[in-house]
Amino acid sequence: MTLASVRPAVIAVFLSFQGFSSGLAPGEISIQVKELESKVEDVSRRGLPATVSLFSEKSESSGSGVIISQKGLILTAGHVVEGLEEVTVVFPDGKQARGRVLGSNLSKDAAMVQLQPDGEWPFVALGDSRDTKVGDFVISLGHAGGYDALRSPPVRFGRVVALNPLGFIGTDCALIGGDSGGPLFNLEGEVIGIHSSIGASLMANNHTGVQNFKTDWDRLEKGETWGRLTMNPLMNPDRPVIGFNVAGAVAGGVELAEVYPDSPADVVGMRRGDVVSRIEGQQVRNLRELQGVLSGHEPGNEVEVTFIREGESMTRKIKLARLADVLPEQE
Amino acid sequence: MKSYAYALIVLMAFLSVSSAQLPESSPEDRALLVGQAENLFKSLVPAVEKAALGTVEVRVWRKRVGYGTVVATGKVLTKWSEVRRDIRSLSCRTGAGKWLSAEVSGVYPDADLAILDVEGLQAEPVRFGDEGTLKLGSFLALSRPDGQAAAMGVVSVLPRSLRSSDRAFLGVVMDLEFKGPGVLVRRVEPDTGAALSGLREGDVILRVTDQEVNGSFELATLLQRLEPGQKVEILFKRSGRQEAVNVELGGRPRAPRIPYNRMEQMNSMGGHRYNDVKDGFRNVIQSDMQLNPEDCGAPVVDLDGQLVGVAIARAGRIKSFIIPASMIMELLSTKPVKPQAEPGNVDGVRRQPGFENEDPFEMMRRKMEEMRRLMEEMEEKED
Repeated sequence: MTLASVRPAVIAVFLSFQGFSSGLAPGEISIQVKELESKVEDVSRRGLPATVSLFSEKSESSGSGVIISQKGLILTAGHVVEGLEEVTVVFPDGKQARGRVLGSNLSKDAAMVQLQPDGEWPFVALGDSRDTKVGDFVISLGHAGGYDALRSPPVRFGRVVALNPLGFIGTDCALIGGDSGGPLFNLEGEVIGIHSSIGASLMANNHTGVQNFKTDWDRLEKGETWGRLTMNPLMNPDRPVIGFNVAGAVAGGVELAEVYPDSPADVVGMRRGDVVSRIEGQQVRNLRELQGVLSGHEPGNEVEVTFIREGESMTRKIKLARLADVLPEQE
Repeated sequence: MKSYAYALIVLMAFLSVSSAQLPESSPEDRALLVGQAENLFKSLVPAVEKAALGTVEVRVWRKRVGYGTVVATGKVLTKWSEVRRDIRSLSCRTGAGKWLSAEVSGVYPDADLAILDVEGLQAEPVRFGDEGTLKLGSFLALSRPDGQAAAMGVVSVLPRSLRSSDRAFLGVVMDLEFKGPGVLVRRVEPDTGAALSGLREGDVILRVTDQEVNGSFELATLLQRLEPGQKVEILFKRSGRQEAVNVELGGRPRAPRIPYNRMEQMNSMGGHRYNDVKDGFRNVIQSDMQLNPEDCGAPVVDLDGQLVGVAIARAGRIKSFIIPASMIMELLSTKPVKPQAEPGNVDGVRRQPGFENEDPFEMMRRKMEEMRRLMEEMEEKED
């Protein structure tokens, strides 16, 4: 597999947007927008041949996928190949081939398919989703609505609008049925995410970051299937939690309404009324900030939690649990 | 945490849809995104500048129902289905704020375009460019009369026909489970090219003219890219023997690929509004531009300011359609038909009071203002 590559270019393009509107003659378009456009055109052209439609005769459902190696390894979404052993892989030019379903991590909606036979397939490079930032420009491809012989998979351009829990990326590249499993590219043409789910807003398009594949690469390649499909990341059983309910934001942090028995919070002696002020040194002023800090961690990670009780500040090392372990009835 | 409680999960076979919202992005992130969008839109101003001089608002009573492109002195092109609701109360408003009454003088029904006669309109007609220079991913901007970009998008799909009758049809039902080589015919539809040529159930199609077919998708793709009326030679296997027939292809609507209801549900999520007439065009550019239904009729330009088409429909969550410049010029060289108001709807039954049609730029400004106020409030609280 291709590993981490740093891509400062995306950030550079964004930064250059801050000041480009001044100093132009009438009718003159800024060079930066032209550069951005030519990158989007380039990524579209290079990404297209590797963006495939995956169709199952068995379930009569269709999704998308992207080829990331010359040997024909395809990344797709877990829910696209759930329960399948084989799929028909259709290329944008209408050529078709068989694909053998490998492994899936359903909790992260990540799955792999191997083209048969392995050989000279068109492919794109893998990027790194870990240095993705809000505001990064992204390009989305996918066989929206299923394979269509009369059009190539539609190109969509947008930005990262949120970094969601569990390594998911939120963008404003609108998705629809059939897109699932398709690639999200950075401006360098590297795959950084795989289309997973949509919310009501056009700003709510959720992609599983490629880091979610890299973490479990070998298991996925070997054909292991695990995890549970949950489209609400807040309900994902593998989400890291401390183990309390929040009453609300108060001066100095968030107040606890309730601590779950035997949860990590309970173990270190936290209780109702405590006010969490910092996690790993980062200030948490409300539930959103608290979730934001936690989403950067995995269950099993140790984090330093600072909370205030009766005017006194205390700091404890807490080992994060899985949501499902704190609320077993959820599984 | 509290958030466990609101989980209501909807799973879909094709694209999973979460009814629960993701954690809200921070005010800082939102401010960054809004600022970025504003900069991007500002950077498009030079591109739309020229087209904007030939752009007008088209209104029914005082409500904007579309934009219009000035194609000749006193002649404005706009979206027919949006103005036909009340063709007796039409007016145009220029970028300079001038109100002029308008009348429908002709219609191109296939393209859902109308020509308005606008007496006293001084605006200089636009100059159409060549959409042939567009690539996948090329930037597009929608021009507004005030010289701003009303919307931005990229070329999602290069020009194509959406008319089902433009597609070749053989008339066989393929067996999707057949492993090949070739394509197994499960059934032959009566009165089709396939039936007339003598193809029948159980035949295995191996080649179409000179092209080998390895499966149903390859056969379907090949046929759909041919035109009705074309003749092809089909090589097939029957009881172990290879035979060939000549078939004249017909035309027929294709079956929906994703169950219609499910697509409609996803399209309508979040209450997005689409045009009533949004399909069946003979030639369109598909874009991810997020048009409002009342944005149609406006000129669409590329980054060089070249006029590449006219916006014709918001057709779904991910797509808007633009009629390419070459098609518009071809239409304008033909004679339009006489207008006919919508039957039973002549007096503007669907007319709505109020002015809910806020344009995207204004909406963005208002939201930014709201956000600024919110952030100020938050900062005050912290102090």
